[in-house]
Amino acid sequence: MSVVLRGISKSYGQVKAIEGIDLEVKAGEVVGLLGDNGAGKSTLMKVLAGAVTPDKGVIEVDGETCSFSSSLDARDAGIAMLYQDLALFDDMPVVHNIFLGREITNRFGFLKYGEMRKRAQEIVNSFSVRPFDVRTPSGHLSGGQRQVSALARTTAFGSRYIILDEPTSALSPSARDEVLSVVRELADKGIGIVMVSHDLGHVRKVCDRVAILHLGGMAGVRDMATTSQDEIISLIVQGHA
Amino acid sequence: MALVQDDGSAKAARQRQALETPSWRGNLPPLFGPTKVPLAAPAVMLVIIALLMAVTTPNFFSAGNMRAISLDASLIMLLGIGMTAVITARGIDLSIGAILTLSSVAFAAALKDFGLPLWVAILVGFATGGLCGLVNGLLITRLRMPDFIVTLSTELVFRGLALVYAGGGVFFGFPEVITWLGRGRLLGIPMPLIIALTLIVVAHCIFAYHKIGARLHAVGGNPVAARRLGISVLNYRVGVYVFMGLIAALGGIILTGRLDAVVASGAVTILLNTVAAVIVGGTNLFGGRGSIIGTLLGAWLLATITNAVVMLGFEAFWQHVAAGAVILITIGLYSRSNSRSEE
Ligand SMILES: Nc1ncnc2c1ncn2[C@@H]1O[C@H](COP(=O)(O)OP(=O)(O)OP(=O)(O)O)[C@@H](O)[C@H]1O
Ligand SMILES: [Mg+2]
Repeated sequence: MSVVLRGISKSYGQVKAIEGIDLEVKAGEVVGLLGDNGAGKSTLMKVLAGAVTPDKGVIEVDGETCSFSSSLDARDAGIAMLYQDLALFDDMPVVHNIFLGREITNRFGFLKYGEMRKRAQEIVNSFSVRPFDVRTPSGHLSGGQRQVSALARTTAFGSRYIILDEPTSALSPSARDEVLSVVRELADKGIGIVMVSHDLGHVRKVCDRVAILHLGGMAGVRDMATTSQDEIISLIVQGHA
Repeated sequence: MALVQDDGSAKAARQRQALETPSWRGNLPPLFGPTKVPLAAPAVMLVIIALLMAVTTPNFFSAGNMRAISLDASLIMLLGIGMTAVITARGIDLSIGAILTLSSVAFAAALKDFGLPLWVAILVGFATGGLCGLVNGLLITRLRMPDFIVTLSTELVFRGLALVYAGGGVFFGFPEVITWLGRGRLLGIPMPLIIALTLIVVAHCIFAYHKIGARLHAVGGNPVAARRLGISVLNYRVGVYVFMGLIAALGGIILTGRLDAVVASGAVTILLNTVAAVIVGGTNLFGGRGSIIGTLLGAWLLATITNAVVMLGFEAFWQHVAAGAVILITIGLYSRSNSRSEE
Protein backbone atom coordinates (compact mmCIF):
# COMPACT_ATOMS: atom_id res chain seq x y z
CA MET A 1 0.00 0.00 0.00
CA SER A 2 1.58 3.24 -1.10
CA VAL A 3 1.24 6.26 -3.30
CA VAL A 4 3.97 6.71 -5.89
CA LEU A 5 4.89 9.81 -7.85
CA ARG A 6 6.90 9.11 -11.01
CA GLY A 7 8.67 11.71 -13.12
CA ILE A 8 6.47 14.61 -12.11
CA SER A 9 7.23 17.92 -13.84
CA LYS A 10 5.42 21.21 -13.73
CA SER A 11 6.35 24.56 -15.26
CA TYR A 12 4.81 27.94 -14.83
CA GLY A 13 5.68 29.72 -18.05
CA GLN A 14 9.50 29.79 -18.13
CA VAL A 15 9.83 28.68 -14.52
CA LYS A 16 10.33 24.95 -14.01
CA ALA A 17 8.77 24.64 -10.57
CA ILE A 18 9.53 20.91 -10.33
CA GLU A 19 11.22 18.53 -12.73
CA GLY A 20 11.27 14.74 -12.91
CA ILE A 21 10.37 14.11 -9.28
CA ASP A 22 10.03 10.53 -7.98
CA LEU A 23 8.64 9.97 -4.51
CA GLU A 24 6.96 7.14 -2.66
CA VAL A 25 4.88 7.38 0.51
CA LYS A 26 3.93 4.10 2.15
CA ALA A 27 0.95 3.51 4.37
CA GLY A 28 1.86 4.06 8.00
CA GLU A 29 4.95 6.20 7.48
CA VAL A 30 5.64 9.89 7.83
CA VAL A 31 7.76 11.43 5.09
CA GLY A 32 9.18 14.87 5.70
CA LEU A 33 9.45 17.10 2.66
CA LEU A 34 12.22 19.65 3.01
CA GLY A 35 13.75 22.29 0.79
CA ASP A 36 14.60 25.93 0.54
CA ASN A 37 12.00 28.60 -0.23
CA GLY A 38 10.86 28.14 -3.82
CA ALA A 39 12.30 24.62 -4.08
CA GLY A 40 8.93 23.33 -5.27
CA LYS A 41 7.51 21.66 -2.16
CA SER A 42 4.08 23.24 -2.34
CA THR A 43 3.84 22.65 -6.07
CA LEU A 44 4.66 18.96 -5.65
CA MET A 45 2.11 18.59 -2.88
CA LYS A 46 -0.57 20.36 -4.90
CA VAL A 47 0.05 17.90 -7.72
CA LEU A 48 -0.39 15.01 -5.32
CA ALA A 49 -3.57 16.60 -3.92
CA GLY A 50 -5.07 17.14 -7.36
CA ALA A 51 -5.06 20.93 -7.05
CA VAL A 52 -2.43 21.31 -9.81
CA THR A 53 -2.23 19.18 -12.95
CA PRO A 54 1.36 18.15 -13.78
CA ASP A 55 2.82 18.63 -17.27
CA LYS A 56 4.45 15.22 -17.11
CA GLY A 57 4.50 12.18 -14.85
CA VAL A 58 2.13 9.72 -13.25
CA ILE A 59 0.59 9.15 -9.84
CA GLU A 60 -0.13 5.64 -8.64
CA VAL A 61 -2.33 5.02 -5.63
CA ASP A 62 -2.04 1.49 -4.27
CA GLY A 63 -0.79 0.28 -7.64
CA GLU A 64 -3.45 2.00 -9.73
CA THR A 65 -2.55 4.85 -12.06
CA CYS A 66 -4.69 7.91 -11.34
CA SER A 67 -5.15 11.26 -12.96
CA PHE A 68 -6.70 13.96 -10.84
CA SER A 69 -8.53 16.84 -12.44
CA SER A 70 -9.50 18.36 -9.10
CA SER A 71 -8.84 17.96 -5.40
CA LEU A 72 -12.19 16.17 -5.18
CA ASP A 73 -10.78 13.42 -7.44
CA ALA A 74 -7.78 13.10 -5.16
CA ARG A 75 -10.02 12.97 -2.12
CA ASP A 76 -12.05 10.17 -3.70
CA ALA A 77 -8.80 8.28 -4.25
CA GLY A 78 -8.07 8.70 -0.53
CA ILE A 79 -5.61 11.61 -0.65
CA ALA A 80 -6.35 14.77 1.30
CA MET A 81 -4.37 17.95 1.80
CA LEU A 82 -4.56 20.02 4.93
CA TYR A 83 -4.02 23.61 3.97
CA GLN A 84 -2.16 25.95 6.21
CA ASP A 85 -5.26 28.04 6.89
CA LEU A 86 -7.06 24.81 7.92
CA ALA A 87 -10.27 26.02 6.27
CA LEU A 88 -12.51 25.54 9.28
CA PHE A 89 -15.92 27.11 9.76
CA ASP A 90 -15.26 29.01 12.95
CA ASP A 91 -18.88 29.76 13.80
CA MET A 92 -19.96 26.15 13.50
CA PRO A 93 -19.46 23.29 15.95
CA VAL A 94 -16.58 20.91 15.35
CA VAL A 95 -19.04 18.13 14.53
CA HIS A 96 -20.44 20.15 11.60
CA ASN A 97 -16.90 21.00 10.54
CA ILE A 98 -15.97 17.34 10.45
CA PHE A 99 -18.96 16.16 8.44
CA LEU A 100 -19.72 19.11 6.12
CA GLY A 101 -19.92 17.86 2.56
CA ARG A 102 -20.43 14.28 3.75
CA GLU A 103 -23.16 14.62 6.31
CA ILE A 104 -24.82 11.58 7.84
CA THR A 105 -28.50 12.08 7.08
CA ASN A 106 -31.77 10.22 6.92
CA ARG A 107 -33.22 9.72 3.46
CA PHE A 108 -34.87 13.15 3.51
CA GLY A 109 -31.54 14.86 4.06
CA PHE A 110 -32.07 15.74 7.71
CA LEU A 111 -28.90 15.46 9.76
CA LYS A 112 -28.52 12.49 12.07
CA TYR A 113 -26.98 14.73 14.66
CA GLY A 114 -26.63 12.19 17.46
CA GLU A 115 -24.75 9.79 15.23
CA MET A 116 -22.51 12.51 13.77
CA ARG A 117 -21.73 13.85 17.22
CA LYS A 118 -20.86 10.40 18.52
CA ARG A 119 -18.56 9.54 15.63
CA ALA A 120 -16.93 12.96 15.70
CA GLN A 121 -16.29 12.70 19.43
CA GLU A 122 -14.77 9.24 19.03
CA ILE A 123 -12.43 10.42 16.28
CA VAL A 124 -11.38 13.48 18.26
CA ASN A 125 -10.95 11.45 21.45
CA SER A 126 -8.61 9.07 19.68
CA PHE A 127 -6.01 11.84 19.52
CA SER A 128 -4.01 12.76 22.55
CA VAL A 129 -4.75 16.45 22.70
CA ARG A 130 -6.56 18.00 25.60
CA PRO A 131 -10.11 16.60 25.37
CA PHE A 132 -12.76 18.90 23.99
CA ASP A 133 -16.46 18.73 23.21
CA VAL A 134 -17.21 18.45 19.48
CA ARG A 135 -20.23 20.69 20.00
CA THR A 136 -17.89 23.64 20.60
CA PRO A 137 -17.62 26.12 17.72
CA SER A 138 -14.22 25.49 16.16
CA GLY A 139 -13.34 29.17 16.51
CA HIS A 140 -13.23 28.70 20.29
CA LEU A 141 -10.59 25.97 20.21
CA SER A 142 -6.86 26.19 20.80
CA GLY A 143 -4.49 26.02 17.84
CA GLY A 144 -3.66 22.38 18.45
CA GLN A 145 -7.29 21.42 18.87
CA ARG A 146 -8.15 23.24 15.62
CA GLN A 147 -5.47 21.26 13.85
CA VAL A 148 -6.92 18.07 15.30
CA SER A 149 -10.39 19.09 14.10
CA ALA A 150 -9.06 19.58 10.59
CA LEU A 151 -7.26 16.22 10.76
CA ALA A 152 -10.40 14.56 12.12
CA ARG A 153 -12.22 15.82 9.03
CA THR A 154 -9.77 14.12 6.69
CA THR A 155 -9.95 10.86 8.66
CA ALA A 156 -13.74 10.97 8.72
CA PHE A 157 -13.63 11.31 4.94
CA GLY A 158 -11.63 8.09 4.86
CA SER A 159 -8.37 9.57 3.60
CA ARG A 160 -5.49 7.07 3.63
CA TYR A 161 -2.84 9.58 2.62
CA ILE A 162 -2.65 13.01 4.17
CA ILE A 163 -0.54 15.95 3.09
CA LEU A 164 0.32 18.55 5.70
CA ASP A 165 1.74 21.86 4.50
CA GLU A 166 3.68 23.35 7.41
CA PRO A 167 1.24 22.16 10.08
CA THR A 168 3.24 23.57 12.97
CA SER A 169 4.19 27.00 11.71
CA ALA A 170 1.62 29.11 13.56
CA LEU A 171 1.43 27.20 16.85
CA SER A 172 2.65 27.63 20.39
CA PRO A 173 5.35 25.16 21.53
CA SER A 174 2.90 22.95 23.45
CA ALA A 175 0.35 22.93 20.62
CA ARG A 176 3.20 22.04 18.26
CA ASP A 177 4.05 18.99 20.32
CA GLU A 178 0.39 18.01 20.42
CA VAL A 179 0.11 18.22 16.66
CA LEU A 180 3.33 16.29 16.09
CA SER A 181 2.15 13.48 18.32
CA VAL A 182 -1.17 13.45 16.49
CA VAL A 183 0.70 13.12 13.20
CA ARG A 184 2.58 10.15 14.63
CA GLU A 185 -0.65 8.57 15.92
CA LEU A 186 -2.26 8.86 12.50
CA ALA A 187 0.71 7.12 10.92
CA ASP A 188 0.54 4.38 13.54
CA LYS A 189 -3.06 3.82 12.44
CA GLY A 190 -1.77 3.06 8.95
CA ILE A 191 -2.18 6.43 7.27
CA GLY A 192 0.61 7.61 4.99
CA ILE A 193 1.65 11.19 5.67
CA VAL A 194 3.75 13.78 3.87
CA MET A 195 4.69 16.71 6.02
CA VAL A 196 6.16 19.86 4.51
CA SER A 197 8.24 21.67 7.08
CA HIS A 198 11.05 24.14 7.52
CA ASP A 199 11.80 22.91 11.02
CA LEU A 200 14.39 20.15 11.17
CA GLY A 201 13.64 19.51 14.82
CA HIS A 202 10.02 18.68 14.09
CA VAL A 203 10.99 16.53 11.17
CA ARG A 204 13.43 14.56 13.35
CA LYS A 205 10.72 13.97 15.94
CA VAL A 206 8.08 12.36 13.76
CA CYS A 207 9.40 11.46 10.33
CA ASP A 208 10.56 8.02 9.20
CA ARG A 209 12.13 9.37 6.04
CA VAL A 210 12.95 12.73 4.55
CA ALA A 211 12.83 13.87 0.93
CA ILE A 212 14.77 16.98 0.04
CA LEU A 213 13.99 19.18 -2.95
CA HIS A 214 16.54 21.52 -4.43
CA LEU A 215 15.69 24.02 -7.21
CA GLY A 216 12.80 21.89 -8.40
CA GLY A 217 14.72 18.60 -8.49
CA MET A 218 14.93 15.74 -5.99
CA ALA A 219 18.18 16.15 -4.10
CA GLY A 220 17.77 12.94 -2.13
CA VAL A 221 15.64 10.70 0.06
CA ARG A 222 17.09 9.50 3.37
CA ASP A 223 16.08 7.27 6.25
CA MET A 224 15.82 9.32 9.39
CA ALA A 225 17.62 6.60 11.35
CA THR A 226 20.76 6.62 9.21
CA THR A 227 21.13 10.25 8.13
CA SER A 228 22.62 13.15 10.00
CA GLN A 229 21.60 16.73 10.49
CA ASP A 230 24.62 17.91 8.48
CA GLU A 231 23.79 15.68 5.55
CA ILE A 232 20.22 17.01 5.43
CA ILE A 233 21.35 20.60 5.63
CA SER A 234 23.82 20.27 2.82
CA LEU A 235 21.18 18.55 0.68
CA ILE A 236 18.87 21.49 1.31
CA VAL A 237 21.47 24.15 0.65
CA GLN A 238 23.69 22.61 -2.06
CA GLY A 239 21.47 19.91 -3.49
CA HIS A 240 24.05 17.21 -2.76
CA ALA A 241 25.71 15.78 0.31
CA MET B 1 5.37 6.77 20.56
CA ALA B 2 3.67 9.55 22.45
CA LEU B 3 5.60 12.76 22.45
CA VAL B 4 3.55 14.50 25.11
CA GLN B 5 2.18 12.94 28.22
CA ASP B 6 -1.43 13.96 28.75
CA ASP B 7 -1.41 16.34 31.63
CA GLY B 8 -3.06 14.09 34.20
CA SER B 9 -3.83 11.33 31.73
CA ALA B 10 -6.38 9.74 34.04
CA LYS B 11 -8.27 12.99 34.21
CA ALA B 12 -8.18 13.36 30.44
CA ALA B 13 -9.42 9.81 30.02
CA ARG B 14 -12.33 10.51 32.35
CA GLN B 15 -13.19 13.64 30.36
CA ARG B 16 -13.11 11.72 27.10
CA GLN B 17 -15.32 9.04 28.59
CA ALA B 18 -17.81 11.69 29.71
CA LEU B 19 -17.80 13.34 26.29
CA GLU B 20 -18.51 10.03 24.59
CA THR B 21 -21.53 9.32 26.77
CA PRO B 22 -23.57 12.52 26.77
CA SER B 23 -27.00 12.94 28.31
CA TRP B 24 -29.93 12.48 25.93
CA ARG B 25 -29.85 16.21 25.27
CA GLY B 26 -26.31 15.97 24.02
CA ASN B 27 -27.59 13.94 21.10
CA LEU B 28 -30.11 16.56 20.02
CA PRO B 29 -28.98 19.12 17.48
CA PRO B 30 -28.55 22.68 18.74
CA LEU B 31 -32.17 23.89 18.95
CA PHE B 32 -31.61 27.22 17.20
CA GLY B 33 -29.25 26.02 14.50
CA PRO B 34 -25.56 25.29 13.97
CA THR B 35 -24.36 28.81 14.77
CA LYS B 36 -24.81 30.81 17.95
CA VAL B 37 -27.04 33.82 17.48
CA PRO B 38 -27.87 36.29 20.27
CA LEU B 39 -31.61 35.64 20.46
CA ALA B 40 -31.82 37.04 23.97
CA ALA B 41 -31.43 40.64 22.77
CA PRO B 42 -34.60 40.85 20.64
CA ALA B 43 -36.50 38.68 23.14
CA VAL B 44 -35.63 41.02 26.00
CA MET B 45 -36.58 44.07 23.95
CA LEU B 46 -39.95 42.50 23.12
CA VAL B 47 -40.65 41.80 26.79
CA ILE B 48 -39.66 45.33 27.80
CA ILE B 49 -41.96 46.90 25.23
CA ALA B 50 -44.80 44.54 26.13
CA LEU B 51 -44.44 45.46 29.83
CA LEU B 52 -44.32 49.14 28.97
CA MET B 53 -47.50 48.85 26.94
CA ALA B 54 -49.24 46.72 29.58
CA VAL B 55 -48.73 49.52 32.10
CA THR B 56 -49.56 52.48 29.86
CA THR B 57 -52.05 51.20 27.29
CA PRO B 58 -53.95 48.04 28.31
CA ASN B 59 -55.84 48.35 25.03
CA PHE B 60 -52.60 47.27 23.35
CA PHE B 61 -53.34 43.62 24.15
CA SER B 62 -56.83 43.59 22.69
CA ALA B 63 -57.45 40.88 20.11
CA GLY B 64 -58.02 43.51 17.45
CA ASN B 65 -54.69 45.22 18.06
CA MET B 66 -52.81 41.94 18.25
CA ARG B 67 -54.25 41.04 14.86
CA ALA B 68 -53.17 44.39 13.47
CA ILE B 69 -49.62 43.81 14.69
CA SER B 70 -49.61 40.28 13.36
CA LEU B 71 -50.56 41.45 9.86
CA ASP B 72 -47.49 43.70 9.69
CA ALA B 73 -45.29 41.16 11.43
CA SER B 74 -46.26 38.32 9.13
CA LEU B 75 -45.25 40.14 5.94
CA ILE B 76 -41.87 41.10 7.43
CA MET B 77 -41.46 37.58 8.77
CA LEU B 78 -42.24 36.03 5.43
CA LEU B 79 -39.80 38.17 3.49
CA GLY B 80 -37.38 37.81 6.40
CA ILE B 81 -37.20 34.06 5.83
CA GLY B 82 -35.83 34.64 2.34
CA MET B 83 -33.59 37.46 3.48
CA THR B 84 -32.14 35.36 6.31
CA ALA B 85 -31.15 32.72 3.77
CA VAL B 86 -29.62 35.32 1.44
CA ILE B 87 -27.67 37.11 4.17
CA THR B 88 -26.48 33.88 5.79
CA ALA B 89 -25.06 32.87 2.40
CA ARG B 90 -23.08 36.13 2.41
CA GLY B 91 -25.41 38.06 0.11
CA ILE B 92 -27.96 40.85 0.37
CA ASP B 93 -31.07 41.47 -1.73
CA LEU B 94 -32.07 45.12 -2.03
CA SER B 95 -34.60 44.40 -4.76
CA ILE B 96 -37.29 42.60 -2.76
CA GLY B 97 -39.73 45.51 -2.79
CA ALA B 98 -39.51 45.67 -6.56
CA ILE B 99 -39.75 41.89 -6.99
CA LEU B 100 -42.80 41.85 -4.75
CA THR B 101 -44.39 44.63 -6.80
CA LEU B 102 -43.45 43.29 -10.23
CA SER B 103 -44.74 39.81 -9.43
CA SER B 104 -47.98 41.31 -8.04
CA VAL B 105 -48.42 43.33 -11.22
CA ALA B 106 -47.72 40.21 -13.31
CA PHE B 107 -50.24 38.24 -11.27
CA ALA B 108 -52.86 41.00 -11.50
CA ALA B 109 -52.28 41.54 -15.22
CA ALA B 110 -52.58 37.81 -15.95
CA LEU B 111 -55.86 37.75 -14.09
CA LYS B 112 -57.38 41.06 -15.13
CA ASP B 113 -55.83 42.05 -18.47
CA PHE B 114 -55.39 38.60 -19.97
CA GLY B 115 -58.35 36.91 -18.26
CA LEU B 116 -56.34 33.83 -17.34
CA PRO B 117 -57.65 31.40 -14.70
CA LEU B 118 -56.68 32.18 -11.11
CA TRP B 119 -54.25 29.29 -10.70
CA VAL B 120 -52.44 30.25 -13.90
CA ALA B 121 -52.20 33.84 -12.68
CA ILE B 122 -50.74 32.65 -9.38
CA LEU B 123 -48.22 30.61 -11.31
CA VAL B 124 -47.35 33.68 -13.38
CA GLY B 125 -46.77 35.64 -10.17
CA PHE B 126 -44.42 33.02 -8.75
CA ALA B 127 -42.63 32.54 -12.06
CA THR B 128 -41.99 36.28 -12.20
CA GLY B 129 -40.61 36.36 -8.68
CA GLY B 130 -38.45 33.30 -9.27
CA LEU B 131 -37.16 34.69 -12.56
CA CYS B 132 -36.23 38.02 -10.94
CA GLY B 133 -34.31 36.09 -8.28
CA LEU B 134 -32.60 34.01 -10.95
CA VAL B 135 -31.51 37.17 -12.77
CA ASN B 136 -30.05 38.53 -9.52
CA GLY B 137 -28.28 35.26 -8.75
CA LEU B 138 -26.82 34.82 -12.22
CA LEU B 139 -25.59 38.41 -12.49
CA ILE B 140 -23.90 38.05 -9.11
CA THR B 141 -22.28 34.66 -9.67
CA ARG B 142 -21.61 34.60 -13.42
CA LEU B 143 -20.54 38.21 -13.89
CA ARG B 144 -19.01 38.29 -10.40
CA MET B 145 -20.61 41.58 -9.53
CA PRO B 146 -21.17 42.55 -5.88
CA ASP B 147 -24.59 41.55 -4.49
CA PHE B 148 -25.18 45.05 -3.24
CA ILE B 149 -24.71 46.69 -6.62
CA VAL B 150 -26.59 44.09 -8.64
CA THR B 151 -29.69 44.15 -6.46
CA LEU B 152 -29.59 47.92 -6.09
CA SER B 153 -29.72 48.13 -9.89
CA THR B 154 -32.32 45.43 -10.39
CA GLU B 155 -34.53 47.14 -7.80
CA LEU B 156 -34.70 50.01 -10.30
CA VAL B 157 -35.13 47.74 -13.30
CA PHE B 158 -37.86 45.55 -11.78
CA ARG B 159 -39.66 48.55 -10.32
CA GLY B 160 -39.37 50.34 -13.66
CA LEU B 161 -40.83 47.37 -15.53
CA ALA B 162 -43.81 47.32 -13.16
CA LEU B 163 -44.35 51.05 -13.70
CA VAL B 164 -43.96 50.76 -17.47
CA TYR B 165 -46.70 48.17 -17.58
CA ALA B 166 -49.11 49.47 -14.97
CA GLY B 167 -48.31 53.17 -15.00
CA GLY B 168 -50.23 54.94 -12.25
CA GLY B 169 -53.15 52.51 -12.56
CA VAL B 170 -54.63 50.37 -9.83
CA PHE B 171 -55.73 46.75 -10.15
CA PHE B 172 -58.56 45.90 -7.77
CA GLY B 173 -61.48 43.54 -7.15
CA PHE B 174 -59.57 40.28 -6.66
CA PRO B 175 -61.20 36.86 -6.16
CA GLU B 176 -62.35 35.95 -2.69
CA VAL B 177 -59.64 33.33 -2.18
CA ILE B 178 -56.99 36.00 -2.58
CA THR B 179 -58.60 38.49 -0.21
CA TRP B 180 -59.16 35.63 2.24
CA LEU B 181 -55.43 34.87 2.12
CA GLY B 182 -54.69 38.52 2.84
CA ARG B 183 -57.31 39.38 5.44
CA GLY B 184 -59.29 36.25 6.27
CA ARG B 185 -59.06 34.29 9.52
CA LEU B 186 -58.99 30.70 10.58
CA LEU B 187 -60.14 30.06 14.17
CA GLY B 188 -59.72 33.78 14.80
CA ILE B 189 -56.11 33.79 13.58
CA PRO B 190 -55.29 35.97 10.54
CA MET B 191 -54.38 33.90 7.49
CA PRO B 192 -51.14 35.79 6.75
CA LEU B 193 -49.94 34.90 10.23
CA ILE B 194 -50.81 31.24 9.74
CA ILE B 195 -48.95 31.18 6.42
CA ALA B 196 -45.93 33.03 7.82
CA LEU B 197 -45.64 30.89 10.95
CA THR B 198 -46.01 27.68 8.95
CA LEU B 199 -43.19 28.77 6.67
CA ILE B 200 -41.11 29.84 9.67
CA VAL B 201 -41.37 26.34 11.12
CA VAL B 202 -40.52 24.65 7.82
CA ALA B 203 -37.68 27.07 7.11
CA HIS B 204 -36.28 26.68 10.60
CA CYS B 205 -36.21 22.89 10.27
CA ILE B 206 -34.31 23.16 6.98
CA PHE B 207 -32.04 25.89 8.28
CA ALA B 208 -31.14 24.25 11.57
CA TYR B 209 -31.53 20.50 11.08
CA HIS B 210 -31.13 19.76 7.36
CA LYS B 211 -27.92 19.37 5.41
CA ILE B 212 -28.99 22.19 3.08
CA GLY B 213 -29.10 24.52 6.07
CA ALA B 214 -25.71 23.39 7.32
CA ARG B 215 -24.16 23.91 3.89
CA LEU B 216 -25.80 27.31 3.56
CA HIS B 217 -24.04 28.43 6.74
CA ALA B 218 -20.80 26.97 5.40
CA VAL B 219 -21.09 28.78 2.07
CA GLY B 220 -21.57 32.09 3.87
CA GLY B 221 -19.02 31.41 6.60
CA ASN B 222 -16.07 30.31 4.49
CA PRO B 223 -16.78 29.99 0.75
CA VAL B 224 -13.25 28.85 -0.12
CA ALA B 225 -13.35 26.02 2.41
CA ALA B 226 -16.87 25.06 1.33
CA ARG B 227 -15.70 24.72 -2.26
CA ARG B 228 -12.78 22.51 -1.20
CA LEU B 229 -15.28 20.19 0.48
CA GLY B 230 -17.13 19.77 -2.79
CA ILE B 231 -20.07 22.01 -1.89
CA SER B 232 -21.36 23.90 -4.92
CA VAL B 233 -21.06 27.44 -3.66
CA LEU B 234 -22.42 28.86 -6.92
CA ASN B 235 -25.61 26.78 -6.77
CA TYR B 236 -26.24 27.88 -3.21
CA ARG B 237 -25.61 31.53 -4.05
CA VAL B 238 -28.02 31.43 -6.99
CA GLY B 239 -30.48 29.27 -5.06
CA VAL B 240 -30.97 31.73 -2.21
CA TYR B 241 -31.84 34.54 -4.63
CA VAL B 242 -34.38 32.37 -6.47
CA PHE B 243 -35.84 31.37 -3.10
CA MET B 244 -35.97 35.03 -2.10
CA GLY B 245 -37.78 35.84 -5.36
CA LEU B 246 -40.39 33.13 -4.79
CA ILE B 247 -40.94 34.31 -1.22
CA ALA B 248 -41.35 37.90 -2.44
CA ALA B 249 -43.95 36.70 -4.96
CA LEU B 250 -45.87 34.98 -2.16
CA GLY B 251 -45.64 38.17 -0.11
CA GLY B 252 -47.00 40.04 -3.12
CA ILE B 253 -50.04 37.80 -3.41
CA ILE B 254 -50.78 38.06 0.31
CA LEU B 255 -50.38 41.85 0.27
CA THR B 256 -52.60 42.04 -2.81
CA GLY B 257 -55.27 40.13 -0.91
CA ARG B 258 -54.89 42.31 2.16
CA LEU B 259 -55.28 45.59 0.24
CA ASP B 260 -57.42 44.13 -2.53
CA ALA B 261 -55.30 46.29 -4.77
CA VAL B 262 -52.03 46.34 -6.71
CA VAL B 263 -50.15 49.53 -7.50
CA ALA B 264 -46.77 49.63 -9.19
CA SER B 265 -45.44 52.20 -6.74
CA GLY B 266 -46.16 50.17 -3.57
CA ALA B 267 -44.01 48.22 -1.10
CA VAL B 268 -41.19 50.71 -0.75
CA THR B 269 -40.62 50.52 3.02
CA ILE B 270 -40.65 46.73 3.17
CA LEU B 271 -36.95 46.38 2.34
CA LEU B 272 -35.66 48.32 5.33
CA ASN B 273 -38.08 46.63 7.71
CA THR B 274 -37.08 43.20 6.46
CA VAL B 275 -33.34 43.76 6.65
CA ALA B 276 -33.77 45.39 10.07
CA ALA B 277 -35.78 42.42 11.36
CA VAL B 278 -33.16 39.97 10.12
CA ILE B 279 -30.27 41.91 11.66
CA VAL B 280 -32.09 42.61 14.92
CA GLY B 281 -32.80 38.87 15.02
CA GLY B 282 -29.06 38.26 15.27
CA THR B 283 -28.22 37.13 11.73
CA ASN B 284 -24.71 38.30 10.85
CA LEU B 285 -24.73 40.85 8.03
CA PHE B 286 -21.44 39.40 6.76
CA GLY B 287 -22.73 35.85 6.40
CA GLY B 288 -22.17 32.47 8.00
CA ARG B 289 -24.35 33.00 11.04
CA GLY B 290 -28.12 33.21 10.95
CA SER B 291 -31.34 32.25 12.66
CA ILE B 292 -34.90 31.95 11.41
CA ILE B 293 -36.21 32.13 14.98
CA GLY B 294 -34.25 35.36 15.41
CA THR B 295 -35.94 36.75 12.32
CA LEU B 296 -39.33 35.78 13.77
CA LEU B 297 -38.49 37.74 16.94
CA GLY B 298 -37.06 40.66 14.96
CA ALA B 299 -40.13 40.92 12.72
CA TRP B 300 -42.43 40.83 15.71
CA LEU B 301 -40.35 43.45 17.49
CA LEU B 302 -40.43 45.88 14.57
CA ALA B 303 -44.17 45.47 14.01
CA THR B 304 -44.79 45.95 17.72
CA ILE B 305 -42.80 49.18 17.92
CA THR B 306 -44.55 50.69 14.94
CA ASN B 307 -47.88 49.85 16.51
CA ALA B 308 -46.90 50.96 20.02
CA VAL B 309 -45.93 54.42 18.81
CA VAL B 310 -49.40 54.94 17.40
CA MET B 311 -51.12 53.41 20.43
CA LEU B 312 -49.21 55.76 22.71
CA GLY B 313 -50.72 58.67 20.77
CA PHE B 314 -47.61 59.89 18.97
CA GLU B 315 -47.71 61.04 15.40
CA ALA B 316 -46.97 58.23 12.95
CA PHE B 317 -43.74 59.97 11.93
CA TRP B 318 -42.26 58.98 15.27
CA GLN B 319 -42.49 55.36 14.18
CA HIS B 320 -39.28 55.71 12.23
CA VAL B 321 -37.44 57.29 15.12
CA ALA B 322 -38.60 54.59 17.52
CA ALA B 323 -37.81 51.76 15.11
CA GLY B 324 -34.33 53.14 14.47
CA ALA B 325 -33.68 53.57 18.18
CA VAL B 326 -34.78 50.03 19.00
CA ILE B 327 -32.60 48.58 16.26
CA LEU B 328 -29.61 50.43 17.67
CA ILE B 329 -30.35 49.38 21.24
CA THR B 330 -30.81 45.72 20.32
CA ILE B 331 -27.66 45.54 18.25
CA GLY B 332 -25.86 47.45 21.01
CA LEU B 333 -27.06 44.90 23.58
CA TYR B 334 -25.57 41.99 21.82
CA SER B 335 -22.41 43.54 20.52
CA ARG B 336 -21.64 44.19 24.18
CA SER B 337 -22.44 40.65 25.25
CA ASN B 338 -20.40 39.46 22.27
CA SER B 339 -17.31 41.43 23.13
CA ARG B 340 -17.55 40.18 26.69
CA SER B 341 -17.63 36.53 25.60
CA GLU B 342 -14.65 37.11 23.35
CA GLU B 343 -12.43 38.28 26.19
N1 LIG C 1 0.92 29.63 -9.53
C1 LIG C 1 2.20 29.91 -9.87
N2 LIG C 1 2.50 30.70 -10.90
C2 LIG C 1 3.75 30.96 -11.24
N3 LIG C 1 4.83 30.47 -10.60
C3 LIG C 1 4.61 29.67 -9.55
C4 LIG C 1 3.29 29.35 -9.12
N4 LIG C 1 3.37 28.53 -8.04
C5 LIG C 1 4.68 28.35 -7.82
N5 LIG C 1 5.43 29.03 -8.70
C6 LIG C 1 6.90 29.04 -8.76
O1 LIG C 1 7.35 27.70 -8.67
C7 LIG C 1 8.48 27.61 -7.83
C8 LIG C 1 8.23 26.65 -6.69
O2 LIG C 1 7.28 27.22 -5.78
P1 LIG C 1 6.69 26.47 -4.52
O3 LIG C 1 5.60 27.30 -3.98
O4 LIG C 1 6.34 25.08 -4.90
O5 LIG C 1 7.93 26.46 -3.53
P2 LIG C 1 8.00 26.00 -2.00
O6 LIG C 1 9.08 24.99 -1.93
O7 LIG C 1 6.67 25.61 -1.50
O8 LIG C 1 8.47 27.32 -1.27
P3 LIG C 1 8.17 27.85 0.23
O9 LIG C 1 9.08 27.12 1.13
O10 LIG C 1 8.53 29.31 0.15
O11 LIG C 1 6.71 27.62 0.51
C9 LIG C 1 8.78 29.04 -7.38
O12 LIG C 1 9.79 29.56 -8.21
C10 LIG C 1 7.50 29.77 -7.58
O13 LIG C 1 7.73 31.12 -7.86
MG1 LIG D 1 5.25 26.40 0.08
